[in-house]
Amino acid sequence: MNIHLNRAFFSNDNPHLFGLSIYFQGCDRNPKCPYCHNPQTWAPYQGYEYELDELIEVIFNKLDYVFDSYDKLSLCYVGGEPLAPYNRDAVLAISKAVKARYGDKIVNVLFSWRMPDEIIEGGLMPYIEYIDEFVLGPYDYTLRNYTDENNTEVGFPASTNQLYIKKEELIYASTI
Amino acid sequence: MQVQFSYQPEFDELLNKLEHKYGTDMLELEGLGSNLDLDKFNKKFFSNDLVGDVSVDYNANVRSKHMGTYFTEVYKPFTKLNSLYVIWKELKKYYGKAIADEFIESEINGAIYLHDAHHAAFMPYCYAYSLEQIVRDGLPFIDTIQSVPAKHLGTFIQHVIQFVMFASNQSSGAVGLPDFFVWMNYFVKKDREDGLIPAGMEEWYINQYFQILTYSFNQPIRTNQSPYTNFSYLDRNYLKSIFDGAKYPDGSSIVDQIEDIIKLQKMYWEWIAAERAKQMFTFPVLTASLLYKDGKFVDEDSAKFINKVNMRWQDTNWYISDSIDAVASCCRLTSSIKSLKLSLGSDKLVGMSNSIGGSDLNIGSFKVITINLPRIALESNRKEKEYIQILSHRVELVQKALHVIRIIIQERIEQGTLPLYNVGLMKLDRQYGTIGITGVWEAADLMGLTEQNADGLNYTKCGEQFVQDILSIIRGKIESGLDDYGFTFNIEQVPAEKAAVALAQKDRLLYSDQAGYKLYSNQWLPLVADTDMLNRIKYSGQFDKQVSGGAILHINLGSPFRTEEESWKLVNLIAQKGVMYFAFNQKISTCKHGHAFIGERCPVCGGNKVDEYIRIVGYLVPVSSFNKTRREYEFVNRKFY
Repeated sequence: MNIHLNRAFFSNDNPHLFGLSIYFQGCDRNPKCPYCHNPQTWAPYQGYEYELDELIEVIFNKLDYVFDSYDKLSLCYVGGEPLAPYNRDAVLAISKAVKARYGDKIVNVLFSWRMPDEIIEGGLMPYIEYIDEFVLGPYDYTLRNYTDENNTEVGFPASTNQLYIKKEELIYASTI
Repeated sequence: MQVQFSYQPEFDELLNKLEHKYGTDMLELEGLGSNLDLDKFNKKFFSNDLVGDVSVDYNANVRSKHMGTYFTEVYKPFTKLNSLYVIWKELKKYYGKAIADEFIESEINGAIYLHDAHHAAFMPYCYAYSLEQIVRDGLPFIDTIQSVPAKHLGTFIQHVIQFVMFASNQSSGAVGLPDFFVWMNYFVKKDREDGLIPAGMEEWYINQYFQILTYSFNQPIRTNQSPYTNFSYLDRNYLKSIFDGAKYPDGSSIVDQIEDIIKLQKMYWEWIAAERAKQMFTFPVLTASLLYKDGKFVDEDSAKFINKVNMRWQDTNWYISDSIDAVASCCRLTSSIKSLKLSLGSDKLVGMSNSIGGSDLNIGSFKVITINLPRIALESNRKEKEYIQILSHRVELVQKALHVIRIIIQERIEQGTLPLYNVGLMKLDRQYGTIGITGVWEAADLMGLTEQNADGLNYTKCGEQFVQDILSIIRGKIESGLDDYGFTFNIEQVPAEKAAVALAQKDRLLYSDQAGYKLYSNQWLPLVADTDMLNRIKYSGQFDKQVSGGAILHINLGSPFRTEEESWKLVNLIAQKGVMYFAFNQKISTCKHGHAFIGERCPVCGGNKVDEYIRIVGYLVPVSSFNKTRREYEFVNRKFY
């Protein structure tokens, strides 16, 4: 399986943990979120192409380089849309592989425009088995979340309609 | 009327030949074109807003345009020409006309860059002074007004200010004062014992002197700019090692008072952090020297303190070493005591061992000449074998030039025109001849040895080897240079505030179809490169130790750290990866009153942001004073994390 990434950079996308963010190429939301922060990731099959195994190796190498100095790291799946049809298999494979290698030392965090019901009803639960935390919902510019009065520092989540929930909360939502 | 220069006809012929060969634009870039025409210079100076657009040797520390600036700048093209002539003459005497001509041609066409060229044949570069001698003797070397040793803190502070005024006008680069707090502590103690400090007001008393000192350092007292001063926070290990056995004038042991010195250092770092909210400062450049061994900071209290106090402005450079043989003094240059000791031979080594204590800080660089590494890629037609051959030859040319500059400085010392040497405050034997490098990344890029992937710009594996090869060649020449020339060289990835721009301009002029860079990198990866921050750390960890003269890693922060813990973990990661010298950069806003803050609106006066401070290379200056290329291209495109 080949996968397209826009970038794989260390960042503070997780509000509590330093970690690696992998930006999947391609977003399946239509229309796209106005004022999206990453419009360069919209088009699928662009960016840097990797064989899945090769990409997992790249991720291992990057995480290994840092793990000496950190007890715990986050791995954020961002985009683009990680749960788009052409990305979701890679999300599952990567999240499974890092859990197998690092266990609880890695916190998998999925960023998706989909809300919980769209994940559940869309039959996407199998793809998020190894995800620990979620930032869900489309970016809404009118509800953008800034941390300062001058609107320069983007807060977390990026807009106040988005949900930052743990896996247990999503599973609970799937049962009701 | 014709202005006469009684230079040897061969020098005149050489310049004419080079003008014919490279064109007037090249001489213009060198500052030896219209700047030598006083009438044209006048028009240019007074019609430009920024001194930097006129000066032949501009830096962002020159911010005021006034008549004092004019009279400083107007002579620079002439003293630059004069310096080049004096060096050419000396090279011709020692190495023959061909080498002398090659040096001038290489300087003018941008294959090399002679830093502070207008001073080059007259003044040394930088020095990290110990204040021990000033504490012991006062300022007897300032012959117009001699001062006896200070008895109280107020006098000591005045002596330091006066010394900096004097010393900064006797050298081109930094005046490092790494042991300032060690000696200040003595006078604080003395004033306390003498009952001069009002009861309960010691902190206020000390802060008053911090204020006098710091505001004075930032006055334009070095012709038209502030002296480039450095303060070091020395951790307990540095203090113990450097001052072991040393005593204050009252006979008390310095190392017995380490906790007082640490406290004083902390007080200054906290004072200046608070004071910046009232007035942003450029100087002194602050560096923390910290020992890091076996995966941790040995003096963790000091490291955690620096981490905490740095949260506000990120105004301290981190110097992290696994041995206490070197102290970072300039913004970047790392002066290794160990290396210089070895260079002096066993006889002198004994003498220097006896002087371990404050005096061991007496160290620096007498001159820097930088090699334009991308130029060699262009000259070699991007062939590695040819690249290495040209590089070897160019390092030898630079070594010869440094050799004769050293001889010239030696003559100046013998003539008594550099009195700080005559009184022992500076020692030429404790100054490196510095071989600068710039544009490592662009050289590799031109050679086709870089790549871009999902984690951004990187060197290819062959590219990493290419950088190693470059550094190995220069290091090899440095080691053999000790026997060949009788003094110690070092290597520095130079800040190249202006040089990086000037050399890229010259390359575009000569190789317009192949060279498109606006400036060359002073980092292993360009500040503007879209690349993972971890790549910057990785390459610094990989290459820093090979650059004996220093290299600084800049990590530009898009927003302040959220917590101390977040910063501390990243600091430890950087240290663990072998990075020796680094700084976090964050944009510091200023309002029209000079108050510093983060963001858009001043919390003190409510005024809007009118400028931003950030390290241009090693020191914090307003972006508005950056030269045009750094202001309009490099700063705008810098990668922030």
